[in-house]
Amino acid sequence: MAGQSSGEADGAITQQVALLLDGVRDGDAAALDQLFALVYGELKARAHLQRSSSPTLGTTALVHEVYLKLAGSSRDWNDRAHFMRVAARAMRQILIDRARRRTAHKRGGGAAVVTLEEMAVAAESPEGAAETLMALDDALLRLGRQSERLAHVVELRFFGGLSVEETAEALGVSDRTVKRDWRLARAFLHDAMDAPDD
Amino acid sequence: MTAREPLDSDRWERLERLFHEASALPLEEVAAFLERACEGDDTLRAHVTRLLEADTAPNALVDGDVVELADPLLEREARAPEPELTAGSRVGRFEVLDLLGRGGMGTVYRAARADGAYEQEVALKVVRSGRIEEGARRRFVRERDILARLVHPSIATLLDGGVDDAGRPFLAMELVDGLPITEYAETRGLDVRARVALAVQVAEGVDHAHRNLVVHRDLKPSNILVTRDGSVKLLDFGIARLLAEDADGDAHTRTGHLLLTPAYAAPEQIRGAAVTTAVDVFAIGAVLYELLAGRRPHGDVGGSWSEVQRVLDTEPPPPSRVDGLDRALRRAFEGDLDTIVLKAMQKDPERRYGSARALAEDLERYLRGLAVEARPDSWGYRFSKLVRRNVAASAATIALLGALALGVGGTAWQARAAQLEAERKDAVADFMTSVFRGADPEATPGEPVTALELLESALVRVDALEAGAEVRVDLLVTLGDLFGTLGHYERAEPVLRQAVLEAEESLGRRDPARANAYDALGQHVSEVGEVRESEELFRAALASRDVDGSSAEAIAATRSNLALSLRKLGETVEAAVLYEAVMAETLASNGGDSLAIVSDLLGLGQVRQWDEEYEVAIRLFAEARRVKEAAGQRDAQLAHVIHASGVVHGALERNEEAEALHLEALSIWQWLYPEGHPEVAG
Repeated sequence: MAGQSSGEADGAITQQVALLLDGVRDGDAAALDQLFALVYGELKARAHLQRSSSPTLGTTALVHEVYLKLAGSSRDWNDRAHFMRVAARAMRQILIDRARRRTAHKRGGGAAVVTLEEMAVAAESPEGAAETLMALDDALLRLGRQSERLAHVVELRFFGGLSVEETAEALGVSDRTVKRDWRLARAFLHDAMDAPDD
Repeated sequence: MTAREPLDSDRWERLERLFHEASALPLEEVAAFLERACEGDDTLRAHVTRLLEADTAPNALVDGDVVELADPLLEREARAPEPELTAGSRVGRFEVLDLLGRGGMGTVYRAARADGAYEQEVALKVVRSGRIEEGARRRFVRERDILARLVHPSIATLLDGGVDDAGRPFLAMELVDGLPITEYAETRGLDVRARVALAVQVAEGVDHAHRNLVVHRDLKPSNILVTRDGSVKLLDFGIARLLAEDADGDAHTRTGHLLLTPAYAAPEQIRGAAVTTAVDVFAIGAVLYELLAGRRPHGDVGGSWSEVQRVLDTEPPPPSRVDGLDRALRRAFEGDLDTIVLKAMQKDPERRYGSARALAEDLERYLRGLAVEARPDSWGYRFSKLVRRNVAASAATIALLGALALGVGGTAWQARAAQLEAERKDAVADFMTSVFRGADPEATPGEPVTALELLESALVRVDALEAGAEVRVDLLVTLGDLFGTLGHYERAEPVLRQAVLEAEESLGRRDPARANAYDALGQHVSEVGEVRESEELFRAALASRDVDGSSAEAIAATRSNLALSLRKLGETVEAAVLYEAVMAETLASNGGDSLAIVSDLLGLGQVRQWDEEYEVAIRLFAEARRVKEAAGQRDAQLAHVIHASGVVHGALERNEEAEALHLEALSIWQWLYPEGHPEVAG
């Protein structure tokens, strides 16, 4: 099933996704939840598959593949924007869930990684990667409290693998705004992660 | 580090502005700029300064791809097994002897009581650490006590279970030395009856558990072992539920709070609906399916959402219809076993066996050669199911279907007539059709066939006719159709080909007249044996029959035609689907006594006949005959129906009945056609 029809949308799913996207556009929270669950599941299945078959995997490729699979290629860009936001959020959730599981039994052990430099080194081990991701997630939460838009930019670009242009499209802002937001957000995260206290 | 406390939104806005302004300045001007711009707000100034520093620092993490970052994490997740317990390790009161296997839920060891309380070796299942959360521990123990009550020869007994000092949840089960049921059946080369007998044991064990209010939830061959002496032992009863709290195994899909194996899971289980004993009945059906047919009902099913959706949306073929079975097996499954398996595997839990006991009893009835309780889905049920999926037809449809019932081979004619009526076609077409209709012996029985000259002269008139393309195409189709109806196939073909040519040249892709032309030529080439070409033509016709542009009966007629071609090509699955869809529409609009249904009953009967489902075919033909006779129609179609029934009786070697039916059909044909019509020759 890995190689089969990877770029092709499945009729029944596409239909359901289209309905959910309509709901999302109308502000239906339940539709958003359902769409999220669906995208989460598909991304996870794919990440897992690709993990066992190919060593490198770009987030961009993954998210776009899932988009094609679930939404087909014919939806308008407004839906695409909604979808991408959900997909980026789902990707973030998947990675954080994994990180949390891995570190759950170590919590309270006091083995906190302190600086960003240490993190970068530590990230080469699974535990280190988990810690780093969670620190990043914490920092992103803090950023979100300051500016929701900046957090969205990070989510889309970093977890969703979207380009500046795609991110601008998804958020309905100009390319220039995305570039400026990205620069500030990046500085904020660097700063926040370098001294992860609250 | 008070400087990192969140800012209120006003200050954050100022921070954003200052950050962007400052970062555009030469480095040496920044400090002075901030000093001035912050107007004594030192916290703000410290924030901006730090962010500007961070801005110039390399940030390998955020600048990279997230998956690069997550790579080691994912890698390890996919590969790392739990560290193995070595021989001699203690888990609760047990001492590990050696490794038996690994599963999605944990690792299984051969173990023995460490305190020597008894000699018996056990299968010790150690759940992956971290799989059970604190809160679930008490429930785990409570459930364990319920499971320990299950004592039945077909159930592996749960001996002990709990959470050991190291926090590892574990279960100690009766150690079963056996093979998975499917493997056992293969290696022993069991015959069909022996396989069914194994399924009876499975159902009995499951029934016992159900009486103790325990549902297995994850029955599959690897959980159903058979020992050397042929006794079934069910493993892991209730464990799916015990572990559902916090599990995410590879071989399982998490849906709601359930662990399940999609290949054997009931639809309601996959959907996350309430789990009842019916899910086990379904799973037994699926396992029996695999035991009989040698493959899973839906082939291999992965864990992705789309794969699972496929299982939900499609019906598996009956075991006897699985590819690659030899003839003897096919025959053995046909009828009762097909019916029993499919009843156990009904998508609607209400339609399955009411209990595992009822399934066991029906299987026993089969083994003793008694009549089984399961019945194939009745036509009425299948129709009503289809009808529910289809919209009811309008009153106009009903009127048109009355006309439809008059004809036999002329479905294109009917479609065209319906369309003529709908679009109030010009008087020329009306006149011609009415004239020629009188010359069709299939429409008015008993009258001599004398219309060839009339047709020839009409054709000359059409050639000279100054009319729109639509009218011309319509007339050519009508004439071609009538040449064919009168048996002059060599005259029909060029006329119909010309109709198609003109339609393609001058009519839009979605024009109903163009669809009619394809349809008519399709029928002609089908009748002269060019079935593959007819299939293409009917598909072209369907493509032209836009939903808005054509009436429902025109679409139905084309579908019937396509079904016929597919049937002739042996593509019975699609043919049956088409026939059933058309019949559903007819039933929805006209009810079961409508003559419109006859040709489709006939067609579907012939599909079933091709599939060697002779009894079903006979029932369909009988129904077709009933409808015809109730309407008092003694015509060529009735002869067809009777003839078809005779053929099936012949195939069943009921020679006397077959002979009688053939003679009856022949007498009708002879009465209808004087001479020269190909129907009698065949």
